[in-house]
Amino acid sequence: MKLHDTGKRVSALFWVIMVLSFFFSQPGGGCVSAADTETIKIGGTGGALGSMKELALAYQKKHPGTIVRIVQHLGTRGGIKAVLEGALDIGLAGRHLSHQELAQGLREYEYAWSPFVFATAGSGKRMDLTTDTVAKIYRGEIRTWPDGTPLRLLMRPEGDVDTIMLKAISPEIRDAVSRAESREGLLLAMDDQQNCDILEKVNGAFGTSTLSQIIAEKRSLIPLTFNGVTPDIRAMVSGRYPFYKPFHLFTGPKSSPLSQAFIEFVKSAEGKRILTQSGNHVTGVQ
Amino acid sequence: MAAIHKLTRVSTLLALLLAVLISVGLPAGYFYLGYQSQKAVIQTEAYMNSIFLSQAISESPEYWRYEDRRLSEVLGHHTTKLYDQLRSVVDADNAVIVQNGVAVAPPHLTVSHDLYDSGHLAGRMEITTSLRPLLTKTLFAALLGLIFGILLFAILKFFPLRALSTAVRSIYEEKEKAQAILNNIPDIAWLKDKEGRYIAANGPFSRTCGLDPDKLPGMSDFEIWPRDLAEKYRLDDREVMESGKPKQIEEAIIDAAGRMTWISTVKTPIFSDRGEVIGTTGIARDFTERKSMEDALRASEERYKAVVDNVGIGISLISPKMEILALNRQMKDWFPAIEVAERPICFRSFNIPPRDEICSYCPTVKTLRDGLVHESITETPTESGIINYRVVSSPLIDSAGNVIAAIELVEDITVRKRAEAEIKRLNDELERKVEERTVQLVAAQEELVRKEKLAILGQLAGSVGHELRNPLGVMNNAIYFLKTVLPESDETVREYLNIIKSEINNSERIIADLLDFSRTKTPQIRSTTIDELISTSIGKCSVPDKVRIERDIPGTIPMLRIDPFQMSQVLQNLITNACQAMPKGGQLRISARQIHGSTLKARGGAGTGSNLSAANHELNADFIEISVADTGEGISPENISKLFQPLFTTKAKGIGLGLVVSKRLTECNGGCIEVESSLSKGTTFKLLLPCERT
Repeated sequence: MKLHDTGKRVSALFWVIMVLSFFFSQPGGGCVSAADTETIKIGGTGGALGSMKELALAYQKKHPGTIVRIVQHLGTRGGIKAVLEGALDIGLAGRHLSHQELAQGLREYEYAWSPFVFATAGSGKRMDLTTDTVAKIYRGEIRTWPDGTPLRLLMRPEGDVDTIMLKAISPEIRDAVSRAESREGLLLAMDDQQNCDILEKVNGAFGTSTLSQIIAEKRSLIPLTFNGVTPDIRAMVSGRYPFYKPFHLFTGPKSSPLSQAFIEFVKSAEGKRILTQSGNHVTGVQ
Repeated sequence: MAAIHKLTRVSTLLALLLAVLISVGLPAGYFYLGYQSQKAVIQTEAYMNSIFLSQAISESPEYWRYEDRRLSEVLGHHTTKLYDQLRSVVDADNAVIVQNGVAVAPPHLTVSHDLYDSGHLAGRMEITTSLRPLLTKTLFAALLGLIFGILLFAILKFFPLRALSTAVRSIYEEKEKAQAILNNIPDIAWLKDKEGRYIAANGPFSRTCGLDPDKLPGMSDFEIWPRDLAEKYRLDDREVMESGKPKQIEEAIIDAAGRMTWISTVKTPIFSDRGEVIGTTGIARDFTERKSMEDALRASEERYKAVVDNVGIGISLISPKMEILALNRQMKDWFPAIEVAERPICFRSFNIPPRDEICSYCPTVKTLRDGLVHESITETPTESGIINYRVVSSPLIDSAGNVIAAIELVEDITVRKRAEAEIKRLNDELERKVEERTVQLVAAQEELVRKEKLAILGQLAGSVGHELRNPLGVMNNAIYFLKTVLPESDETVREYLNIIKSEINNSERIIADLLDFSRTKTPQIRSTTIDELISTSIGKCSVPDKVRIERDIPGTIPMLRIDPFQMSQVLQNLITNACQAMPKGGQLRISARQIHGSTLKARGGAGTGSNLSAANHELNADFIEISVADTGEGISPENISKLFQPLFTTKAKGIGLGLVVSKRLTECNGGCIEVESSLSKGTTFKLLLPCERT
């Protein structure tokens, strides 16, 4: 009889646990119901995602019923396409939108600049770059760091904004990069996050990035000096460091109304503060 | 030739087919392999891309459609540029998400692979590549194949085909020749393969079996002949093929017309180049007529053989190499040890012991040499002695006129020859005896005649001598008177008186001879010394000064038992003849010796021209031989036999009675007279006279 009673009690406990588990596992289950939350989907160039995460967290704190979802790996072009189709509410671009893109109903807002930097990981890989040095690296004439360790060049896709900006530095560098694009066996990063991941993980890796991504994503990367100038906001603003990447927010015809509220938050003082702390120079051009 | 044209057409067609096959097959194979290879490559690439793409989709199922750059890199824009491809990612609604590459020139090869989101179909990945490069290369391959095909066609057409055509033509010609030879063979001829099927046969064969020659190839004996014959033929074929040696068979067959035919068949195996038996060939000759002739010939031969074997003479056939080719029974009886099969040489076999060279009298050698008939009598040594064969050798001549052998007809004439020899001996003996008797008869007849003549002559001589002696005596007295009365007469008168005197002496001597000849006085036998006899005789002879007398009388010689007067007269006659035989002078040698009767008996008991037995002397008596030898001119042999004939003389003044009288007187005294003479050397008269016994 004792045993029979104990079995009945275990069976009842099991059914209670199962019912509770079903209840808490349902969507919208928990503390916030589905009807109370709104989502703002943001995606695009990877270099802006770090800063945007900071902004999203701040926005969500300020608007608890709104979830800001940062979508990765889309890139500027993917973001444009997704915004146009309504898959995203706000797109992020590392360049100005073209007239054709704007003609499709997109509206852009340049919210910041960030120094476009050559970066590597590890403190022992200090090298002051020049146009000639960069060209030699991309031509494969310089294959080691000053300490003798191998220099592993990390490329970006041919149509990527970073590649376009790199080729724009000088004709010499453009030729060198074009030649590097035809070389086989070079490291290739599909997006900005993967780019930083490789720079961090591969010993002696050399590539491009933005200061805002390094800071915002807290990457263990060191921006290299160019012509003796350290790439920071001040040097960029003063013009001593000439390379920078403009970041844009854009919305499309199918963007939700909440996207504008988020853009307004970016334009707000808190937003500017967050951007500045993330290594951006806030511009605020419509 | 039709076969050649057919083969040429077939081989040309074959060459063309191969050429076309090469021309088409090479590009087709190249295209197929290239297509399959290209398809396999892009299928692999599509598979690999789909793995990465599906992973990307799974990582971002809501936004993967917008990750065109990432997707584009996964598709590999380098690869699309390099291989002229168009790679696309299409979602489940067939909307193109991303597309790499350029527009691909048709025709296309498209390979797709599904993309999944954690097992759910999310889209597909397509790789489209142009087949134009492959077609271009295939075009080159086709060109190359065409060249190869043309070359192959040329090679197959003009080289092997030509060689093949030549070989086939040669084979065809050889076959035609063989068939022509086969058809021109008057005998039945055929060729069979190893299984006994006919390959070819000639006209006589088809006529015999009653089948069309064109239908024979491929047929077996069982389809042509009765079963028992076919089985026999097949057995013969197998035996020939297994033994590998020809076989000759004589047998009777019944042809299609039911006529029995005798055929002589020679079956021979046919060998391949490798020495393997690949069939048989046969030639069968109808020898029915020949067999009849052979039977007749055999019967004839048997008859002739019976004749030859039963004839009483030996017959042998000898080759030009002196080999014995054949012997009849008589020869085998004579020479049983000879084996004809071994072909011994005749002069070694017919002689015991064997000769090492051809018999000197061999007529066969001559016949073999000149082709004429020769004959000879042999002296063949055998175990039983010398056998005489009469061998007549006749030539055996072929159609070309060559002597191919000699036929010896041998007759044993040993008995006949011996009989002939005996007859000859008897004849000779008879002839000798007849001759001897004839001589004796002639001698007796001559003696009789001579005696008759002598009797007549003696009568005549006695009459004449008696009548003439008186006038001669008167004339001799008258001469003596005249010499006495005319002592002073001149020389001429004395000379003529001497001549008359000499001639009167000669006449008296002739008359004395005639008287002695006509009447023989009985000898007064008494013992007389030889010296006295000789001295008396010499003293009564007028020996010329040019003649030198030599005497050789042994001192111990016994006395003679003779009539000294008569024998002195004989000696005088012999001395006078000797002196006259030496007109130029010489030596007159008178010798004597004793001869015992036994010695005389050993000499034959008789002297020349005399016969002691006839004189009734005992041969046991001793004799004295007195020789009167001169050194004159000698007497010719023809005259010696006539010396003792009456009236034979070589002298101008003689009458031929001196030696006749001397012979008669000697014989009357129990002796005999002999004469020996050599021309230019001289003459010796020997008197054999009885003497006293010592």
